[in-house]
Amino acid sequence: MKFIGPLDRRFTIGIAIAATVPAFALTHLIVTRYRDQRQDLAVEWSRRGDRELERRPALAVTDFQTALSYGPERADDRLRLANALIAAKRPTEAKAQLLTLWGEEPGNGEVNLALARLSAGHGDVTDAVRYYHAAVDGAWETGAATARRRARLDLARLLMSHGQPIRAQAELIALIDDLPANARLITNVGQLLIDAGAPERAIGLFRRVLELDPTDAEAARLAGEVEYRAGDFEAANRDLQRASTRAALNGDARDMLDVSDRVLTLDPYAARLAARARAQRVLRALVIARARLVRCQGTPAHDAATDARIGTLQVRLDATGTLTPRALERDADLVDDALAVVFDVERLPPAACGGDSADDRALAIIAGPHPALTQ
Amino acid sequence: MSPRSSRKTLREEQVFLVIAVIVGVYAGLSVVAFRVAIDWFRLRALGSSLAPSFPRVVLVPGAVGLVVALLVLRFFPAVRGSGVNQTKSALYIYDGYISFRTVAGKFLTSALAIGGGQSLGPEDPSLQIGAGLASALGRRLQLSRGRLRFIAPVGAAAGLAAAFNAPITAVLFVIEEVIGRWTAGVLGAVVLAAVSSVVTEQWFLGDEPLFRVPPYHLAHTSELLAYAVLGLLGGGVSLVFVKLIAVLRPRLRALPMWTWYLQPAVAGLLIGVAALRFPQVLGAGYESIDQAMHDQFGWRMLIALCVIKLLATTMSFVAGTPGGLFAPTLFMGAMLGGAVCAIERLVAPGVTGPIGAYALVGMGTMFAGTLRAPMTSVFMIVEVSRNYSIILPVMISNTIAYLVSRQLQHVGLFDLLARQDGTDLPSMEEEREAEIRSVEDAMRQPEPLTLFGEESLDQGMVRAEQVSTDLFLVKLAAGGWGTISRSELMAWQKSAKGAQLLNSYVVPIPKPYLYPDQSMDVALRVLHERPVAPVVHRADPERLVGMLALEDLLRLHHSQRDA
Repeated sequence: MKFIGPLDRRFTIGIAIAATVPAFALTHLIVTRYRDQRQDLAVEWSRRGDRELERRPALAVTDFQTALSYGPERADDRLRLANALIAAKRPTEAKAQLLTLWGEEPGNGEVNLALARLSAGHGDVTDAVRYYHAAVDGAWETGAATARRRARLDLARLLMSHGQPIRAQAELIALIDDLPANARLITNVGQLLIDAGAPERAIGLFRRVLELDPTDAEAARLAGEVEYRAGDFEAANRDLQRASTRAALNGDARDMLDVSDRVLTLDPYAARLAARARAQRVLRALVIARARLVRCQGTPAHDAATDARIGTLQVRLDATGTLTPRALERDADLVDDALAVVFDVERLPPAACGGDSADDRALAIIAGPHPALTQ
Repeated sequence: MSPRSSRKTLREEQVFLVIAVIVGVYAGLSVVAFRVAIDWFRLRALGSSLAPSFPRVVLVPGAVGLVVALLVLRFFPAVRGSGVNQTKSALYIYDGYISFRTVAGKFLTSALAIGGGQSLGPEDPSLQIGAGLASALGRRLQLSRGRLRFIAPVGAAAGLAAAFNAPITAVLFVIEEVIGRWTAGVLGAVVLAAVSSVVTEQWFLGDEPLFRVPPYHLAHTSELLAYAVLGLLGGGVSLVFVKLIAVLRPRLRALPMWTWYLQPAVAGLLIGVAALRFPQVLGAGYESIDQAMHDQFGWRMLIALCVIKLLATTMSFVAGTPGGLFAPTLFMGAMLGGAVCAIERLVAPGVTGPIGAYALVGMGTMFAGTLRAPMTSVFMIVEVSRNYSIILPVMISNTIAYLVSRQLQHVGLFDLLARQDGTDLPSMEEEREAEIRSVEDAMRQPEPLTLFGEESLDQGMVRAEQVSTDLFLVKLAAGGWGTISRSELMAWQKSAKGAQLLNSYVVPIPKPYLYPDQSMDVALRVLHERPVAPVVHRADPERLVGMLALEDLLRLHHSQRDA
C-alpha cells in the first residue's frame, strides 16, 4: 500500500471535516422539506379524522392512526385517536393510547380525565379516583378551572355511585369556593351535596343561587325541601312559596308546602305568640285530635293494646271538652295538659288511624321529634 | 517499544479515533438521507394512506421488484441481501474493502425496495452503507491494512446506530456479531462512530425513541411465566423463519439466471396481494409495531400478521431483494408478543400487564432467536423503548428464545447465509460458545518432590534418588522458584561441589508465574522463555498448585483433537 505522509493525511482529514459543512447544509435542506411534508400530511389526516369523528368514528380511528404515522410526536393527535377509539367503542385500545400519553406527560389533566372516565367505565374505582385526582391537580392548556371542576364533579358522582358519600362530600366541599356565578351549576352541586348527606352545605349554595336569580324556582324548591327536613318550617314555607309562584311543585314539595303552612298556623309554641292566639290554636288542635281519634276508632283490626290506648285517649280528650279560650289564656298548665293529649293522639301510628290529613302531620311534627329527623 | 515508536502508535490511534468520528458523522447523514429517500419513494409509489388503494398495492411492490432486480443484477451485484455478511466479508476477506458503488447501489435499491412495499427493513442496509462509507474514507486516507480492516465495522456501527437511534445496540451488535472481540482501540472507535452518527441523526430527525411504549409494570410475578412462554414461542417462530430461508434461498438461487430478474417481482406481487387484506406487511412496518403496542389489534389479527410477515419477508429476502431483516424480525416479535398478551388476557385477566410490554419483549425474543445476538437483543429493547424496567422479562424471554433457536438450529442465520454464498466467515456465535481451555486443564500436579534452596547439592541428590523424575522445582530461600535437572545435580556433585547450597546454583524462574485460570495464549507466551513454569495460587504465590511445560499443552491439544 502506498505510503501517505502525515501532511497528506491531515489535508484529507481536513477536507473530510470541511465537507461536512455542505453535507449538513444539503441534508438540512432535504430534511426540512421532508419534515414539512410529513407535518402537512399529519395535519391533513388529522383534519380528516376530525371530520369523520362524529359520523364514522371507526374511519376517524384510521385517519388519526395515519396522522400519527407522520407525526408520532403529535400528542394532540394521539389524544384525538384515543377519543375516536372511545367513540368507536374500543376502550381497551383507547386506554393503551392514553397510557402512552400519560407515560410521556403524567401531569396532563385531559389525559388523566380521559383515563379516569375509562377506568370508571371498567368499574376500576381505585384507578379512576387516582386519575380523577391527577386530572384535578394536573395541567390544562385551556379552561383549566372548568375542566378541574368537571373532573371533581365526575369524581363525586363516581364515589356516590360506589357508596362512598363521605369522600364524595369532601370533593364537593372542595368545589364550593371556586364555583362560578352559574345558577345551574351551583344548583347541581347543591343537589349532589344533598345526595352525599351534607344538606346544610347545600342550603348555602341554594341561597347563593337565589341571590343571583331570585326567580330560580329549582333552587327555591330545593332550599325549601332542605329547610323543611331540617325543621326550619318558616324558611321552608317561604322558599317553597317562592318556588310555587314560578313553577308547579312536584308532589313532595307540594305536600311540604301544605304541612309547613299548617305548622306555622297551628304551632301553639310559636315564638311571640299572644296568649289569646295560643288558646285559639290549642282549641283548634283539640278539634283536629278529636277528628283523628274518631278515624282511629273507625279503623278495623287494632290489637288490644292499641284499643286500650285509644280508649284512654278518648277519656282524656273528653275531659278537655269544657276548656274555654279564657281558661287556657289564664292557666298555662291547662295548655300543657291539653296539648299533651293532642300530641299523644297525633303520635298514634298512622297505620292505626288510616290516612292522615296535613293538619295531623303538622301537629305530629309539632309534637316532635320531627319525623324527618328520625328517619 | 521505543518511546518514538510508542508516540507514533499513539498518534495513529488518535488519528483513527478522529476518523471514527468523521465516519460517524457521514454515516449519520447518509442514514438520514436514506430514511428520507425511503419515505419519499413510498409516498409517491403507494400514497400517504397506511392502507394503499387497490391498484397500487398490488402493482407497486411487483413493479418495484422488477426494477430492483434489474439494477442489482446489471449494476450492483454486491448489494443483494441484508449487508451484515458483506460487512463481515470486508473485515475478514477483503481487508476492509467495500466499493463506493456498492454503497450507492445499496442506498438506491434498498430505498426503492423498502419504499415500494417489499417486506424488508432499513437497518441492515444502513449498516452496510456506513461500513462502505468508512471503507471509502479509510482507503482515501491510505490507512494501514489492519486499520482499514477495522474501519468497516466502525462504519457499520455508525450506520446501525443512526438507523435505530440506539448507539449501545449498534456497538454491541458490531462487537457481538461482526468483530467478535473487545479491544480498547476498536471499541473506542466503534463507540465514537456510533455516538457521532446518532448525534448527527438526532440533529435532523430529533431524539424521539423508535417506539412509544405505554408505561410498563409487572402485573403479577406469575406473569413471568407468560414471558417464558413467549420466549419458547419466539424461539419456535425464529426457527421456522430461519429454516424457511435456509431451505428456499439456495433453491431459488439454483434456478436459471433469467428467473433472478423475476423473483423479486413475483415476491412483490404476492406481498401486494397479501397487503389487500393486511396492508401492515408492506415495508418495514414500524407503524404497525406502534399499533400493536397500543392494543390496536385483536389476537387473531396479531397472529395473522406475524405469520404473513414471516412469509412476506422470507419471499422478499430469498428472492434476493436488497433490504434488511432487523425490522421484519421486530415486527414479527411485536405481533407474537401482542398475541401472547391478548390470549393471556382472556385466560387470566387479573395477572396480565400492558400489551406494549409484551410486544416489546416479543421483539427482543425474535431478535435473539433469529439473529442470535442475545446481548444486543436485551440492550436493544431497553434502548429503543428507553424503558429500563422491562429488562427482567426481556432477559428471561430472550434467553429462552436464544436457547431454543440454538438447540434446534445449530448454525445462526448470518453464518448460514455466508455458507450458502460459499464464504467461510468466522462464526462469532461459535467462538463465543467454544470451550475455553485454561492452564488448569493442561497443568500437571506438582512434582512429588520439591527441593529447597537451603539444601546442599548432596542433600538434594539424596532426596532426588527417591523419585524417578528428571526435573525438580526448587523453592528458593529469597522467595520464588527455580528448576534443576537430575543431570545437573549429578554433574555438580561430581565436580566436588556437593556441600554447596542449591541457592547458589539454581537460576530463579523469572516472574510472572502462571495462574490456573490463565488462557493457553498466556501460557504459551510464558513457556516461550522457559521450559517449565510453576502454576501458583493467586492469593499465595508461594503455594504451588501445579507445573506446566510445553509438552503439557501439546498433550491437551492432542487429546482435544482425538476427542
